[in-house]
Amino acid sequence: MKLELHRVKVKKWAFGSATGFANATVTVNKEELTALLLQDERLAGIELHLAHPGDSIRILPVKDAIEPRCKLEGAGEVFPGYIGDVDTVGEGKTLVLDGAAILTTGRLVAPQEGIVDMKGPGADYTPFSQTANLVVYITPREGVVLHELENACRMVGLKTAHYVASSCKSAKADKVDSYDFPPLAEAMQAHPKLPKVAYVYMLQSQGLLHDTWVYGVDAKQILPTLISPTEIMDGAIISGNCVSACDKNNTYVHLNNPIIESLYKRHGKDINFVGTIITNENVTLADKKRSSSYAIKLAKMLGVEGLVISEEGFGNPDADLIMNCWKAERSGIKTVLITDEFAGRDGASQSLADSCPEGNACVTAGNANMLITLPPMDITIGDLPTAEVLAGGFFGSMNKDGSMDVEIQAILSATNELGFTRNGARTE
Amino acid sequence: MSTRLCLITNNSTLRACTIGNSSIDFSIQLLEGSPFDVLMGGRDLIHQGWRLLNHPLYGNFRPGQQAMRSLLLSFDSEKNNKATAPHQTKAVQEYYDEDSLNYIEQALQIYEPFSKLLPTIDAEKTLKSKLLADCALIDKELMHVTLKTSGINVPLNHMEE
Amino acid sequence: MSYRVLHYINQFFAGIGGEEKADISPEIRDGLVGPGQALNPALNGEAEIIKTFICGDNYFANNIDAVCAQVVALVKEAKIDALIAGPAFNAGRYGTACGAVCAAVAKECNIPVITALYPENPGVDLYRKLIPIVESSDSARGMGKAVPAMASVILKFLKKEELCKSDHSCLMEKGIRINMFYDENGAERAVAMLVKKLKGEEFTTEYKMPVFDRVEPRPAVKDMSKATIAIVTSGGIVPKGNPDHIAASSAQNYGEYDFANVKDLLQNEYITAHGGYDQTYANEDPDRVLPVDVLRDIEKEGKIGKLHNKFYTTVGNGTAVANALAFGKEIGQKLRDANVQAVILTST
Repeated sequence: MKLELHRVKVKKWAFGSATGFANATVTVNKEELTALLLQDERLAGIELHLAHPGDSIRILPVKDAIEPRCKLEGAGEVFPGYIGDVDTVGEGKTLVLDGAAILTTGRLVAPQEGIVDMKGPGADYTPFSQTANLVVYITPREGVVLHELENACRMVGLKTAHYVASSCKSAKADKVDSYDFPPLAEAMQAHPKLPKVAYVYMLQSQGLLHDTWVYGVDAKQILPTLISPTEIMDGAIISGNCVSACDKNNTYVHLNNPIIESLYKRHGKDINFVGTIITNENVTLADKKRSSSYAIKLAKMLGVEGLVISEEGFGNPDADLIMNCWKAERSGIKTVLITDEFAGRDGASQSLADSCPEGNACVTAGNANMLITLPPMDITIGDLPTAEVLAGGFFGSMNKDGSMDVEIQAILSATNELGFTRNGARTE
Repeated sequence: MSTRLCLITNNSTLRACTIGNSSIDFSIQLLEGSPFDVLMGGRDLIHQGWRLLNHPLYGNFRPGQQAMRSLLLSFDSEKNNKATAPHQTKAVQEYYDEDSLNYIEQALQIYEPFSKLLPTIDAEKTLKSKLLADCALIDKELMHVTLKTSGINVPLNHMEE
Repeated sequence: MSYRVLHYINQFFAGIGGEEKADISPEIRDGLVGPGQALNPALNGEAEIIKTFICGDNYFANNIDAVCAQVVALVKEAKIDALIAGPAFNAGRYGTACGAVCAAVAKECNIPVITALYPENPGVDLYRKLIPIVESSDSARGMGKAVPAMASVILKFLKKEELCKSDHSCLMEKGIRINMFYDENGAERAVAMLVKKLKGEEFTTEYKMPVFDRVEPRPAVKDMSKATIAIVTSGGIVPKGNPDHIAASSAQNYGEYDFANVKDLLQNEYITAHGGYDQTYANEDPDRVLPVDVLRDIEKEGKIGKLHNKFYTTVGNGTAVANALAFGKEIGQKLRDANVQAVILTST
């Protein structure tokens, strides 16, 4: 499968009369986009805001981040199962508005977080302080149940991303990256001297507000399966995960999965990258056993020598990560794990809920409990946590001067377990 | 032979769970306590031969971020010839499920530092507080698959009723 | 004016005596005692040991809070700027004492503290998260290396200077996770690590998973009614008078006692030697730790074949893992030689 990503560099958003691209700026017709989104009867209101790097703006709680993309050539449309039909994507040409992001915000439940600061110390911990952001603030119609509401918010992000990209199809790409994923028969023959390597991609699938969709299918209902990296680049994996901002994989990081990027970089030089296996992180112990065994069985069928395994979230997914690790290692497949840590504010507690002696190669995205003080910003987009949540110290506390003391868990992608950022930790 | 299931929870919205078929022997232990108390209750059952069906930790909440906790356990009569009811705490079991014990002990270690800070739940409080109501709703949603696949019907959300 | 330093040492390093003097109560002397003679010059005249606090190891183990409070009071009264404790090398009780006084002074007085311990000293695991500890060798032969390292670190703390690389390399890890930004993103680090792992090259994990010393459960005893059962404890139950002098903490030995004719461990006939918990309830009824009474009952009822005629006991309080392993192996062999089928281990 061959996919070209036509990257158009975006530095700025603006509002104007016609949606389109010029001079590194995407202009959006507010009324047109708002009307498009409000076709969804589950929504009562839509507000659009712009946030650029360096602005004194705080956005919270961010539900999802999405990169604007659309198909230029090839079968289907991006975000299959939602925007596109459910047929296979991942071939042809796809337009990417590189440097731009759609952030959806609006409170679904009380315990929910997801802070993006566009400047200050918090900005260092979120990659979305570096993107030009179109922020969509969503007000639901009263009485819409949570399942429906989550779906409605998810659709707002996808529709906006697709609408904007589709309106910029005439823009000339600054850079074209091609990705090829050959048929297995070919992949197995290629680079006979290099070790075959695959990627085990764990998807959060615990339930409402903790879900991931693949071609529109709830990931908790899948058996682990193979997917082409190019399908992921066309939005085959969509996030419905709204809780634990630091280590939920939002749709933007799925589209730009840095592990796949790094495996491609080394492909043909140090390794032969032959496959990506998606698996889930379900609640029941039976599912955990089944999925980990099945995912590792697929790796064995591919005959790989090494695996990168990435986790999503923390707590019970640690059990899935550990099962994937020892099941692979005990079948002779070497593993490297990417996780994050919950070692307490003082960094002295046990970082993971589970462990195994085979897990001797871990990359960490940092301790999510690290406390940070976020100074007040001129503008807040979204909803502050309810007084009850703040009083409970769930995600931190508000100070008199308007600053907030929060754990970096509350910051979007601060400890992203796809290794999207440079954050990490060491022992002292 | 019937399947014995026990739901131990401090989430009163799960009180209305019912059995999907008559071969299930289902009991609910509704605790007025904290998530830590629920885990301790689960641990006691495991020592009496019960087996965990869901992992005792949440997938994205830390102990201080979720006031509810629910565990579904099953009792395997074939492995336990001396069947005990969930309320009998004195019986000595010859069999226990090692995985269940491992997971519950790991979870207790994580909850322990929070054990004194965790709110004690009573039904009245839950109804009044938006935060607790949301916690209860999410807990119920996250238990949904575990309960359904074990043949238990889960009540609709109060908003949907 | 130079910084004022307090030095904490035990009775042995003060030259008062060994185990037989381990019960001596605290004593404060002006100036240098024992290893202070070596430490003081290493402080380069920038700091000076003003007073030395001496305490017997056993006395400390039995009066931890009180002695710590005395040290804290002295620090305040004598306007002390820093505390140096030890080095205690692999001496368990002494190491624990050094850790405890450093932790108490750091917390109550907020001044720099330092000690030096051998990595297996039980004081390390107890206090590594709270205080800086220089890694020393296992015996006083390592004094020459430990002293300049301690001096270098404490002087930097006093002058509020950054520690240098060699300071860091001689300090033991606190085991605390600190966030940092790497040069590459996590994904690049992961793939690079995998490439090294596949090539068989050395790689460094960014997070070391804890490794637990798991014991595989033994198969169940087939017929308890015919089995000889032994009882072993780390709860320190001993005949009154503690005839083998098992230490209240950091035990160096274990005891073997015949109790063939004992039906019940009576108050005043048995006591606990353990210094790590409130002894009241154990001394009131030693069966609470070593349940001889109920074992005799089930022996009589025929539920077990026979209770082995000897019990083994030690104190698990801060006892070095290496010592505990050695005790375990010896006890295990003796029980096997005596054809014991199963052992009940009690702890506290």
